Parts: sequence; structure tokens; C-alpha cells
Amino acid sequence: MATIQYPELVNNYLTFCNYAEEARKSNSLDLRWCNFLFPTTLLPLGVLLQTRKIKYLKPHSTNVSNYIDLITGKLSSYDVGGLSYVPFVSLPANQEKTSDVFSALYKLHNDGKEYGGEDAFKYIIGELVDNIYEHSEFKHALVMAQKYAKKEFVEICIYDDGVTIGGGFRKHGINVDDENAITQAILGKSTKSEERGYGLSTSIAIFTQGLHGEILIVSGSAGLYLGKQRNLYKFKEVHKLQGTLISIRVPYPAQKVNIYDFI
Amino acid sequence: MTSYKTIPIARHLSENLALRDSARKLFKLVEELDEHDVVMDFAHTSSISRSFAHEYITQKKQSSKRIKEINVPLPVKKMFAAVNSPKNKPILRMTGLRTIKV
Repeated sequence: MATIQYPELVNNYLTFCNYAEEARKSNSLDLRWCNFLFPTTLLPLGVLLQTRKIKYLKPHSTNVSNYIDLITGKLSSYDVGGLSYVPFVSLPANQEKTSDVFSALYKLHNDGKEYGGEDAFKYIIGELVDNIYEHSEFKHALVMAQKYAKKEFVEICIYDDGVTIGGGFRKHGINVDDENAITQAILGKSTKSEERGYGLSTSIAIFTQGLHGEILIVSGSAGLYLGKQRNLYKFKEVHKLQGTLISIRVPYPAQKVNIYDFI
Repeated sequence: MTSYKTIPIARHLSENLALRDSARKLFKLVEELDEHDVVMDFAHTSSISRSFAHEYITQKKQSSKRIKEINVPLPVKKMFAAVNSPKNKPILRMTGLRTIKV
């Protein structure tokens, strides 16, 4: 029987699912041997550990341990040498306080100049964060960008524990399952008006067609991967996500892309 | 002489204009002004999302005030132009998707 080779982004999401399942069963997690976490695993794991108050055995790796302690609020950036160490930001419930969050994220990543240019980086962060505030009704939301210079890619990841894309459609009386909701959303369907719905579709076009990157969107019981493969995932209950996770990988350093070709 | 009010956008909101809600709140403030003429000063803004630009244009059309923009940086100008002349939404190839149960 042929085995399915999942793209690494999907594998990293499934790694989170394995941790989540272990945590659900025992209300504890052994992370001692965890020596590397990509944002796709780290962001939902951080929210899970924090919200379910799950006890965990700390990773032996100081770096990973610090990341987990930071994301769960056990450490502050001050404890680990300042903001420059912290690659993620938490979205405040009050939208009026987001200005500092954007500034910190942009400053930390040199305005995304090596990630396809300032326009592209700020565009995707702005659009995806706005989508969260407009649609998700989140309690927790995190944004992270991480450069892996040796591996020659950048991973930009955004996670919220809100109502999911399908949940948002269904709340507005559009009866779709989670798989169809994701595909409709990336084709530009909006719950608000025909004039809207550009944010996600244009962001995907910029990062997959303009920058030849790959993207994974997981929301509820569905996932969509666009990259070298083009897969729609129907997740079993054990792999279902509370909320929406969007992970993007682009080659690093990425050349500047003209976003106006896509919007 | 006509009196007008100038709103420094970067100072009032942010140098990075991203959220629709910020545009809504900006126009809520504009509607409460005594002045009929309002100048939106975009000096020191550095980025704008499509969503913010769309909401700004929508709110401006609905506003009872006479509004003009000054010191609009090129990226902001380009985004307003993109929203004012929207292309079709990008055609993302959705054919040939492989469905996998996991």
C-alpha cells in the first residue's frame, strides 16, 4: 500500500494534533524530547497549553522551552533578553491597541524587506489580522514570523481559536461544510458583501504565485494545502482544529514582489 | 472664510493602516466634527491594507462631510487606486485538488 507523503507544513500541523491528543487524554504533556517547533505547531500548542492549563514537562532545549514559556505567559520578553527574542505577538481583544502590535512585528522583521518586500509582508499581516477581527470572534490569536536562514525559508503563521471559516459562514446562514467554506473563502466569497473577500484570496495569490511559496489553511475539520501538491484535507475528529490556522512558507531571502499585480 | 479640520492620520491611528474598524472609527469621529470640510493628512503613514482602503472609500462615500486627502504616500495612493478600480478576484486554480482523509 502506498504511503501518503504529507508536505512538511501538514506534518507540523499533525504534530500539534498528536500533542493535543496526548494532552486531552492525560491533561499533561511530555515535551522533554521536543527540540524544535515550527510556528505551525507552536502557535496552536501554546494556546492549548495556556487555555486548558495543561501541565507539561519542559523541553531540554532551552530555546524551545523559552518559546513555550513565553507563549503560555510563564516568561516575559524581559526575562529572555528583550523583545528582539520574541518572534510572535498576541492580538489584543481591543482593536485600538493593535498599532503597537503591528509596529513590534514589523520592526522585529525589518519590515519584511527580505520576505518579498515591505508591501507584501505588511499586506498579508494586515489582511489576515483584519480577517480575524472581522470574522473570528477569537479569545486568543497569535501571529508569528520566523526566518530560517540555513533552511532558506520564512514561515509566517497566524492562529486564532475563534469560530472557524465554516462557522463564520454558517452564522450568516450560508450552509456549507468546512471543506467548502475554505475553498469558497479563498475564491473570495465574503459573508459581508460582493465588494469584499479580497484579503485572503489576494494574499494567497501574492505568496503562492508571486513568491512561489506554499500555504496551509486549517479551519475546523478541513485543511487546504497549496504548494508543490494541491490537497484538500478532511480531518477526523482527532485532527480537527478549534479555530483557524494559516501557515505560509516563502523562500528566503525572497525577492521583492509587486503586490499591485495581484490586488 | 471656510473653516476646516485637519486630521493627522498617522498620529490619530497608526503609521500602518490595517484594520477596517480603524477606518470606521475615524469616520465616526469625522461625522462628529463641527467643520464641514475635513482634510485627512496621510503624512508619515507607511502602509495600508486593502481592507482599510476599501472601508475608508466606503465610509467617505457615505460621509456628510467634504473630505480631501493630502500628503498621501505612494503605496497608499496605489492601494486607493487598486480599490477604486478593482480587478476580478484572483483566479486561484482550484481544479485538480486531491482530497485526502486524515
